[in-house]
Amino acid sequence: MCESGDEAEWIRAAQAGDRAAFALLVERYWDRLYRWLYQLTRDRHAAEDLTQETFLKALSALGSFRPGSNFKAWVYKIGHNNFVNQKRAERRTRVPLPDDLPGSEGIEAEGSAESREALEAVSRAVAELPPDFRAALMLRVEQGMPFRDVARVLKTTEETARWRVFKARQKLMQVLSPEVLPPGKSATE
Amino acid sequence: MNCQTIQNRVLALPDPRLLPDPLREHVNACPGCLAWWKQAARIERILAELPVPPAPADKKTALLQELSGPVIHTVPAIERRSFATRFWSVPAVRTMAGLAAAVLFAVGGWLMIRPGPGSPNIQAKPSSDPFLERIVQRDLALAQARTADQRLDVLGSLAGDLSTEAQSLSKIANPEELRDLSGMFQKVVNDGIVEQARKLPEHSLTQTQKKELLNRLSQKLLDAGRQADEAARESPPHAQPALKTISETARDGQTKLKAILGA
Repeated sequence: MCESGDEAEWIRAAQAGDRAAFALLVERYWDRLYRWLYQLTRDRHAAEDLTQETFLKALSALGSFRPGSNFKAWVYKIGHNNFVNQKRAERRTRVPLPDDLPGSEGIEAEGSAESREALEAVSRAVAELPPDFRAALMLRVEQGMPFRDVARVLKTTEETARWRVFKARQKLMQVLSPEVLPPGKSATE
Repeated sequence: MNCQTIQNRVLALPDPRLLPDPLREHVNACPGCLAWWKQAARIERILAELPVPPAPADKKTALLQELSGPVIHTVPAIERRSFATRFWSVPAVRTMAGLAAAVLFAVGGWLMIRPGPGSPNIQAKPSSDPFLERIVQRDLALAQARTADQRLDVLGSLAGDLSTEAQSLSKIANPEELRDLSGMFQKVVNDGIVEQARKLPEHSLTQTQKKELLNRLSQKLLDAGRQADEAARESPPHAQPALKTISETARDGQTKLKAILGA
């Protein structure tokens, strides 16, 4: 998927050194990227740091972005690289990633037809998925990315991206039986 | 098709809530699959609306402010056909500009959220902060450095600035602020000093010059690591992880520099 007309213009301007144009791209993608990185790290501090680092790297590497290709996938790929590098560094220094436990303060369930308990149950189950599967699932389901772009972000094949999403869903179905998943405020299907 | 096959096909769809006709026919006619599908569709819907906690430090606002403000760091001026343009087109210089900008942006954002002493809501103006001024000076020096060894010397000083700032704030700053500083220190050491030392052009320095340069940088890292260790002994527990990170990063960087020298 290529970028919209507005976005293509912002990218062209940003590549020519227009900082305000880059700010528009930050405004468009920051919150979505933060949401995804939070699902990967389960730590809002780490997710925010990674989001910031991603945009700073994107800014410094903007010259290498090919106009007409998918800017969102390009930025998310940088974000995923940062996440992977951070995990490697943690393994080297043996500092465990601090967790924001699903359901801890700050998570708002307002605006959802689902009960807080149901949201927490799914959030916990997602947190238990292996990171590669979690990353693929959330790109597809929460971020609405086509499998082709999921593959691009995660530097894998489209077939593998489909497989990871399938296995992640299968795992969630296994652990989230109707007994485990409390009914929503409005249980309409 | 049996129920298991149907269910696998549903899970392989881009969106399991949207069933194509052949699958829908089976699901509507099979009570077991219908109940299963309702659960799958519900999980899919919940996944799409999973809440996340708000970002703690509002670094987005800090970055947007930085982008809308005057250019206080050096970024390649693409339109100008000058010496500066040719200079910035050198890949190593571009990399360094990215790193310097990254540190400067991070520091700028950090200063905006950093509480002033005794007044948690005061927003420090970057231009009046001695630490930021030092960083800006390093940034400019980095931009003006013509050779790899000059750039490495500036990076060594930048690492020293970040380490000193973390040590001096270790008793009053909160863990997040200290972690930010130690993260910047890691970036300067790993992405800057070590990476650039690895990429030193073969014939840019004599072996003696290279040895002197890397020994000088090793000494700076050694000092930063020792001072961080000393500060950690007198600091509250919440400050110790960041200081330990600085100390370990410095030691790790020192080891890598020695390996480069020996290679």
